[in-house]
Amino acid sequence: MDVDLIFKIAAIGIIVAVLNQLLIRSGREEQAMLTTLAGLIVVLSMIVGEISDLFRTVKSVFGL
Amino acid sequence: MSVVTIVGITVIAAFLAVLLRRYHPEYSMAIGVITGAVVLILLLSQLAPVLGRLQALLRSASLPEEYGIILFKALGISLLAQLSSDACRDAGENAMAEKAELAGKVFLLILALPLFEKVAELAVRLMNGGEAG
Repeated sequence: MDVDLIFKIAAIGIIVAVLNQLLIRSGREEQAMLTTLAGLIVVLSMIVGEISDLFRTVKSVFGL
Repeated sequence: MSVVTIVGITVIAAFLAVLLRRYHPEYSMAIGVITGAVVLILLLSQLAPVLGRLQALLRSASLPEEYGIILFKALGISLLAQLSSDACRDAGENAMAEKAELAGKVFLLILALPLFEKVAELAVRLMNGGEAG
């Protein structure tokens, strides 16, 4: 079920937030920024798939 | 799948979005967008048979088929425009939200213009008929 995607994104966000704090505290700000960027790219790739699914469903239901 | 499912999904997603907003507002927006997409997909799977019934109803009222089709297309365009404008507004980008709504309005106008032309033609024909009679 694609409801799991919401929890996956929340989990990725929490993990990235924790990693971010850890890396910033240990003085590696560039790696913290890269971690945030990587998490964001993963999340965006998940979203793009779901949105294309939504567009296909809307097109097929409403005959656009 | 019932209304309880969707209500639960939205409440839990709102909780997660508020939880993440403090650390990473972009993840909060991602959760908002994907919750909207998931809920819409779940709802559309329920809506498809209803639309079929509505089309049958319109056919039995001997209305032309194309009117119902235009109505459903307008509904789909409105849903998509509303989804994107809500996502932009949640992210604090009011200008982009307005642009999404404007795009929806423009395409609705393009969709509905042939119908309006038909109404205008009918009105002109009625007026000419009144003069001739």
